[in-house]
Amino acid sequence: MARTEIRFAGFGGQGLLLAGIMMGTAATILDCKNAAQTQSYGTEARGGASQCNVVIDDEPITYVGVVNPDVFVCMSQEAYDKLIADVREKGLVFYDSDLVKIKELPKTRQIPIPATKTAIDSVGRKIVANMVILGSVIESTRILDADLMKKCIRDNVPKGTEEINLKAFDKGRELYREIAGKA
Amino acid sequence: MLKQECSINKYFVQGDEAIAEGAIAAGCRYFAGYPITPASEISETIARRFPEVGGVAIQLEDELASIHSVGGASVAGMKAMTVSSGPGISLKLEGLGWGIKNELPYVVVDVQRAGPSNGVATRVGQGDLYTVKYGSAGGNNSIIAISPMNVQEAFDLTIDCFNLSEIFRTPVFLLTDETVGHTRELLVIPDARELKIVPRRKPTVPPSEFLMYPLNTPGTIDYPYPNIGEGYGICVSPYTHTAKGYATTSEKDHDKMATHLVRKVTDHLDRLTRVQEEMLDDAEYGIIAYGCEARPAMEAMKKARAEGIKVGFLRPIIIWPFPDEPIYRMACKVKKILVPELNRDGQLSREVQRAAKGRAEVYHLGSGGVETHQPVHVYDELMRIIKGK
Repeated sequence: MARTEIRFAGFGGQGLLLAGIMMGTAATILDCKNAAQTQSYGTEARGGASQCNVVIDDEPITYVGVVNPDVFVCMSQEAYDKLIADVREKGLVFYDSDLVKIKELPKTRQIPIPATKTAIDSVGRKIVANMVILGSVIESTRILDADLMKKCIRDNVPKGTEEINLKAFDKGRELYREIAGKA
Repeated sequence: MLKQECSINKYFVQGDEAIAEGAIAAGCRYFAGYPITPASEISETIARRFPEVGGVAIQLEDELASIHSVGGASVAGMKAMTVSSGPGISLKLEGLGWGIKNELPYVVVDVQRAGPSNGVATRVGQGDLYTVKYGSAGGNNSIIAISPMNVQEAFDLTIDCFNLSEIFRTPVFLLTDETVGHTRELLVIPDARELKIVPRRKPTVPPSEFLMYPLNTPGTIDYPYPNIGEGYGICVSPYTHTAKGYATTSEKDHDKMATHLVRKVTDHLDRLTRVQEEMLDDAEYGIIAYGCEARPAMEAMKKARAEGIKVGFLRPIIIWPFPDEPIYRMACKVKKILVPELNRDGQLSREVQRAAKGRAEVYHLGSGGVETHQPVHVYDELMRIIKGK
């Protein structure tokens, strides 16, 4: 695959960093691709603006930063307003439709994923909203194989939370299939 | 389908974690630190891993205590390390002078962030190039500093820091930055048998014949360092010493000590010159960068090359002593050199200018920090200086 840039942005505590790390880990450790993950965050432990960037490429990665993401995963209005302009033409935007109001953007496909609500409704835990939206991203983009992602999640999330994380991930895949079916 | 074969000894981890693993692989078993972003992940990894390998990790009351205790551990025969970032490095510098003067082998990691002072704590900067070399007062120093640009190098070069600290009997810096420290990439940890590790060299003569400091043969390296408690009567203090380690105020003795400390490095530049050179053979223009800035710089070089513009690249890996010779050679070949770096002072560019001795024009592309330059910034500036605008 060619260089693909993915940006996750929202608030600290939403697990976007973990979602990015899962992608990078699956790509490098399980799929023998190259990946680099960078992040920017404030000094707050929770609630501040948080951003996680992932580059995946079959070729070695020279520059690790994300400038114009191919995929933008957005979980807060603040992040959307600040970062939407960076998205590459024909890029994909996955946004939590209960947290973000989007603008009309003719050259970008924007996909509403009610990740936080789905996490609460399906497993009763808001904390796995990251896995819901990650499931939708993987189902849609096929950047990485879904079974490979699931192995990576099982191996790396805190012990005892494997099942709810995996359930949320599958829920996100389903959600995308439903949305894509309607469109 | 799972491709398990790519997972052996491979980890998707931060540069900071790779530094901790590199230290463990090098034999570091004493660590003292005080938390600071963006170096804390090194301390956290060490704290988690040291119980598994039998190391001692302590969070002390401040930076001064942590570097002095690392000096103490070194005299006691342990491979030791402390880590910090700019504001903490400032505080450690007093202890560092003590380490330089007493020729203590240990490693200090500086994960640079945007300064001055506390600056932007969680974001990148490159403001400490001179701090690590000249920050400790009094001059006459033997500092060596090595700078990685990716996660694998963070591991490999940390091992080199320990090895050089043993060979040269001096504190050695790993001069890295927040971007390298916090980026996650693939780390391959080789089998321990494949790693070259330099052990502490021990005296082969009895205590009565042993001189603690080889001041009569200035510039000597690969010199033994006995452990405290082995009967060698180790004298370590902040004062100028004689070859036996006793305090002295004699002008002659002082100059002997100062000469030895400096010549330890300057007499052995062949062992302390390490750069990465790319496409310099036919280059008409050059870019020089270190640490995190090397990667956008190389990307800019690739873009220019794709357009037929003959651009080459050089990166100091061992950055102190400064690689004057390779840079002079490069300056003799190219017309103009661009130096992107994350400070507005022009630290790296000033050194490049000095090393180039007027053979090429040197241009500084600065930024206060917080973000690395993007490849396009470096490329645009390169085009601007090529066109002479």
